[in-house]
Amino acid sequence: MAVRILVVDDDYDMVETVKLFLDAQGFEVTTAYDGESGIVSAATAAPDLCLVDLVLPDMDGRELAKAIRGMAGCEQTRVLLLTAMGGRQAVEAYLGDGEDSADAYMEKPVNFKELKSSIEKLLNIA
Amino acid sequence: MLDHLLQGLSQILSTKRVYVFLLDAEGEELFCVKSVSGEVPDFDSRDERLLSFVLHTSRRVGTKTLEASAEPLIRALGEYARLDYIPILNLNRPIGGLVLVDGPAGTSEREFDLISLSLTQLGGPLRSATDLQIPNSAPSEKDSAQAIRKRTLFLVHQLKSPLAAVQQLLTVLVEGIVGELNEKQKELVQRALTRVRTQLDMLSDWLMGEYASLGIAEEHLGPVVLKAALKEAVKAARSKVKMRGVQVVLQGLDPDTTVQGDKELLTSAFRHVIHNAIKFSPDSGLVSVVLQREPKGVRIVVKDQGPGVALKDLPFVFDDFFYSKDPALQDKVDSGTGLSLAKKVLKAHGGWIKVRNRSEGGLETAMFIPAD
Repeated sequence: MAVRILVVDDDYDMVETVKLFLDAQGFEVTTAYDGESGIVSAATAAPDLCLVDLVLPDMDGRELAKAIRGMAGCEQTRVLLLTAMGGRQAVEAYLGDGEDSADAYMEKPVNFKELKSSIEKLLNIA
Repeated sequence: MLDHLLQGLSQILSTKRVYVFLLDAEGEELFCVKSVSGEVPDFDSRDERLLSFVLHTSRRVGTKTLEASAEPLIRALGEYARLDYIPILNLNRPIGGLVLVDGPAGTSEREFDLISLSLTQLGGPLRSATDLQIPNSAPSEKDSAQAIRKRTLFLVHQLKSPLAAVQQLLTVLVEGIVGELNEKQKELVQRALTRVRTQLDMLSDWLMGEYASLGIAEEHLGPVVLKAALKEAVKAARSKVKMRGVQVVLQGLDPDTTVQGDKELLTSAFRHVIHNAIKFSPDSGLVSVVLQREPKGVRIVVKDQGPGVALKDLPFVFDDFFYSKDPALQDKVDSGTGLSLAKKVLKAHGGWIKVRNRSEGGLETAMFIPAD
């Protein structure tokens, strides 16, 4: 069964390029462009992994990650936060103290090799 | 009139460090002829960078006109009142350049404009300090370092996101994910990718510099082993530049030499200096990085065998976005944020950075970090 990945980002170009790469790797990809749509898609697709932009029009990525993890069928869903701000320190500086609901952070623009490696690591796949 | 002007400026700027220097007719030596405090500052009368700064300001003020209102002046002086060193400009070109300078720190274009206008306007009856509204410099909660960091991060995010998307679109093309390109198409896309990456690096460097300007965050302060930081910086610099056979030699690397600081910021500062040294070196040239322990701290000296920096550019090499306009160097210039970042980082650590052209050719960059 193909690995299911949900990509949530309000930047259409970012979503399309990541989807193109993931499709080529054989993953089953669904997409959304804001937090609410992301929640709806997650409820339908029950993804194994979510790639989520930190700054969405209606919520921040960590809130979305928490919402998805709280849904039935998505308790084990991994979340990789994508951000153009910088690494984890930058994210912490921006969001301040708070529950860290992401499994990993990655800086945009995404390096496709590193993305593939991170996905394999997060999902324990070869 | 000159005494009147000096006293007025001293009051407005709340500092006694206002001096008058005279440049000799040949432009080779500076003399301090007046000071408000009565003391003569410690300076090198033949300091290359200071002379270059004076010559540059001499040329600029000669063409300045009286057009600005007092508002920009008041704002500028209010900002400068917070600084220890205030660069002020040429007054009288016919005698070879008369400059009020409190430190060869270099001045941005905007500062030149505002200060030269202020001097020209103040040439008349001087207003007393009570007539001027100096902006309140007390920091409010709104301007706390944390709030500023957050706003800066958001700004950078907004600027970087579209560029990140463009880079990914180009990467999809060049990696053949949607079909192979011909050689010429690949070359053009690669060039576009290089431009975008340079802009993204510039934004990241600028962000880091802004962070450094706000001071070292307590959670990031700790012992930094300089040997490890320099090795990491060399490795990172090598990965970003074509080496062309350039050798980088590290010397004086005592494994116990540490300083208190932010490892990420310091490593980034070192990386930029070493990266520049490699970039401007001739093929198969030598870059040396020497770590020297001194009584009050640690000095790191990076030397290269490149073309050095043009005299006229020396006062500006640490300005944000400054890069050489020399046509011969255009293939080597980048975002112009590396050295300004290095300066902000060193300053945040209580240290400094200086450059000088070596007599045997090439550039020497010295960095100092205080340590017990």
